Amino acid sequence: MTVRRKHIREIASRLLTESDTRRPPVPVEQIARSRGVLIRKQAVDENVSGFLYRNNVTGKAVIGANRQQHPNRQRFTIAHELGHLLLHSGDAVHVDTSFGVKHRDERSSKGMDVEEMEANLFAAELLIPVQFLREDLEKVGALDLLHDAKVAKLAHAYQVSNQAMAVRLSHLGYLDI
Amino acid sequence: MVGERIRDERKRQNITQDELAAQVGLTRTSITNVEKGRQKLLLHTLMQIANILGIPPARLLPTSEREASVKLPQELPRQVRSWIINSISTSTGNKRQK
Repeated sequence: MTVRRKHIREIASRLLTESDTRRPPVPVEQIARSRGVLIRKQAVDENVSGFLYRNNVTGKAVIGANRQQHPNRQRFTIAHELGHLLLHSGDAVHVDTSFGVKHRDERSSKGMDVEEMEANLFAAELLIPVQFLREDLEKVGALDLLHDAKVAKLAHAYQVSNQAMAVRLSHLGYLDI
Repeated sequence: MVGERIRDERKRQNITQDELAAQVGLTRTSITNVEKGRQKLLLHTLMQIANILGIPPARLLPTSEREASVKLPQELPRQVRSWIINSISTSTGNKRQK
């Protein structure tokens, strides 16, 4: 199975339309709640990012995010788990430990499973929608992205980590990293 | 939790709240309250209900094993396990219950 890029972008884009989100930061918790998801945050072991629980009978779902991690990271976690919920069927409980953009390449090369890659892509599509980014890049000027400060400014506007923003920009072909 | 199990088992056997109430000597309202977890239950009443339903009383009791019927990865720290279990049980214990 390969990563379903188009499918993932469509789902993320539909959520943005439904929630009438036109500018960053994307209200990821509100979007998750609108899909009937309960959010639970707690500070726990830093190697755990979060979890997804789903009851396939009642359709109820809970997403947990580790409060110990940076708020931007928690947003990514919630988006990532929402991705699992909307894209994958599977175990009642899915726990994510040390996943994320930082580890993506390393884990992909170790054969990290496609579902994790899909959930990460979904999180990027939801939190950093390409159409928003294009608008902002027109204002900023794509060439200026060579300056870290510009990437940081964008990351701040989208409430994502600098790293997540840099990876996203690079995947979209705006930045060489 | 106990109330839910009583209700599920009662419904499975097509017994009405009225019928169950009459057999244990409670009002139908009490059975409703017990099933919704709003009323405490005497141990002997629980035994009676189990007898009427023809099941071992233990089947009506929550056990950590049953509540944690979700499979959690073995290597999770205890703190993380309890976070997950608590989150799940508070999500099913509220009024959004079906």
